[in-house]
Amino acid sequence: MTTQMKEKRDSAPTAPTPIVQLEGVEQHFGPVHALGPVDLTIGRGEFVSIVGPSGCGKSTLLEIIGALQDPARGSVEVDGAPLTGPRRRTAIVFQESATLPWRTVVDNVAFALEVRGIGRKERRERARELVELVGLGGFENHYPAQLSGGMRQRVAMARAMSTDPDLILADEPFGALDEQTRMLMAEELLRVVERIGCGVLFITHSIQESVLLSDRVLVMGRRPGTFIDEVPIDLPRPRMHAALSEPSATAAQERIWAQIRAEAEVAMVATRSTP
Amino acid sequence: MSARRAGGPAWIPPLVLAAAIVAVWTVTAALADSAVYPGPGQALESLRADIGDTRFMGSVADTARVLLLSYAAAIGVGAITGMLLGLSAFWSRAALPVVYALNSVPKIVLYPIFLLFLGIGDLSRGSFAFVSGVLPMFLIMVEATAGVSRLHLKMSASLGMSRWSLLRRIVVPSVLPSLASGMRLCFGLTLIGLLLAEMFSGSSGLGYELLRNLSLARVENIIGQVILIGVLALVPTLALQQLELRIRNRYEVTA
Ligand SMILES: Nc1ncnc2c1ncn2[C@@H]1O[C@H](COP(=O)(O)OP(=O)(O)O)[C@@H](O)[C@H]1O
Ligand SMILES: [Mg+2]
Repeated sequence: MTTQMKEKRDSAPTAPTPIVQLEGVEQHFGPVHALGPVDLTIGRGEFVSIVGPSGCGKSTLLEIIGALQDPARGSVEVDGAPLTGPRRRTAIVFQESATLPWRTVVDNVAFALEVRGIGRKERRERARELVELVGLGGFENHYPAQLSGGMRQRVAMARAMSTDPDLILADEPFGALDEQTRMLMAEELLRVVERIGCGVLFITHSIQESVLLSDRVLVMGRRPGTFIDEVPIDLPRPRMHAALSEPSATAAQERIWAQIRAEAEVAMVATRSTP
Repeated sequence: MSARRAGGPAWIPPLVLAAAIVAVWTVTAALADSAVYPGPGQALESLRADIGDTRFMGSVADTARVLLLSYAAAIGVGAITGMLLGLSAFWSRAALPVVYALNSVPKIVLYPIFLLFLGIGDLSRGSFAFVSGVLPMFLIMVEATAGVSRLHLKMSASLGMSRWSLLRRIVVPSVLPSLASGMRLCFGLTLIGLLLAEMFSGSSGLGYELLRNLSLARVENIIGQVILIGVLALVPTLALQQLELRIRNRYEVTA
């Protein structure tokens, strides 16, 4: 009898807690209302992109979820618990210049592990595997200055992977790279993220990139940024660049562009009329 | 040959230039044939005589000893206090204008104050040399620390690094290039401070020797000693330059 009940409860479809859950989050810098209010839910293993005009509060939102700044209002829950400070399993991928120029590739990748007190031998072993995983085998002992921008960003990606994250926050990580490198890096990121199955919040100004990578694209309006549209992307995975030419992908790109264009036009007029 | 091996071909142009200067000096001195304009031969001859003199060598040793102490103190104190202040945005904003103003006062006008409080001797001379070096070192380090990449700081914050870990793993490596150029710059400033102090209140030291020869109108000795000071200053300066080059190659952000 009791076992029967237990079985029943176990098989009931309980939705797992989302990895990120925001409600009514706002940010103000003095008189500047920079963000929100926004609600946002990211499921476990879900890939969510945010696109929007520059200055609308995308980085602010990402930093709030990464506990780099506290919101003025609203509640932030990550992995079912209110955020109190930087989380061990949240990894942030910044722009390429976040690599440390005085450390070799291996020591850059091992940095997060070093900070967490993992012994030298163990962390280097782990770092070497990750360097291999992101396709930098043979460059272990190079310095960032000896690498291209795309390679430096692979280093940053490997560093983010090193701490076994369940959530990756990426703020225009490929923004400084050229078009071809971006595409390659985007595919690379997909491959790596699918392998470890973590949730991702990805900020980009490339509509193509957002469609290629995401399960869902959120479009943010001009400052103070709120979400003005949510576009599900139903492309099969694993995805490659060719998926972008499928009808549902082009439709999604056009829908996102229409929203952004409207926002950008209003923003341009607004900037022109303010002295 | 050995110079080439130590410094590489970069040393050749300055050597050629130095040789040219000596050549011009030799020729013009021979042409002028004047008692107040000795040639290199006479200058080196009197320098050799000076070096044979134990009293003079005592002066050289005094200068070297005080220089070493005041330089080490200026670097250590300037670097550490500068870095600590640079870490606090508030205190940097409060202190920087004051220190910049202080640093722009020609230091020599402060020297009587040193004499008044510390008396004539190694202490006042060394302290004056120390102050000449420590202010620029401090300023360089405050600026360098305040200029640590914001992106690196954010990255560290996202890893929940402790303050000590941040200092050791991010701040110190970031400011090393500035530390190295500060060390090179402040060596010259400390030396100038010390020589000036010795000229005004010395009973020993190279600055004192220079002025003594002036009152004795021994021009060839003065020029010989100037050469000696030049050489004594050049060796550490070149070594510090090499150090700076190496540190910059390794630590500087090259975007
Ligand atoms: N620390 C800050 N102090 C004052 N204003 C800020 C600060 N950070 C961001 N802002 C402002 O908030 C707005 C949103 O910034 P941000 O989140 O960086 O935009 P985005 O990443 O979308 O380009 C901008 O107008 C920006 O100028
Ligand atoms: Mg941004």
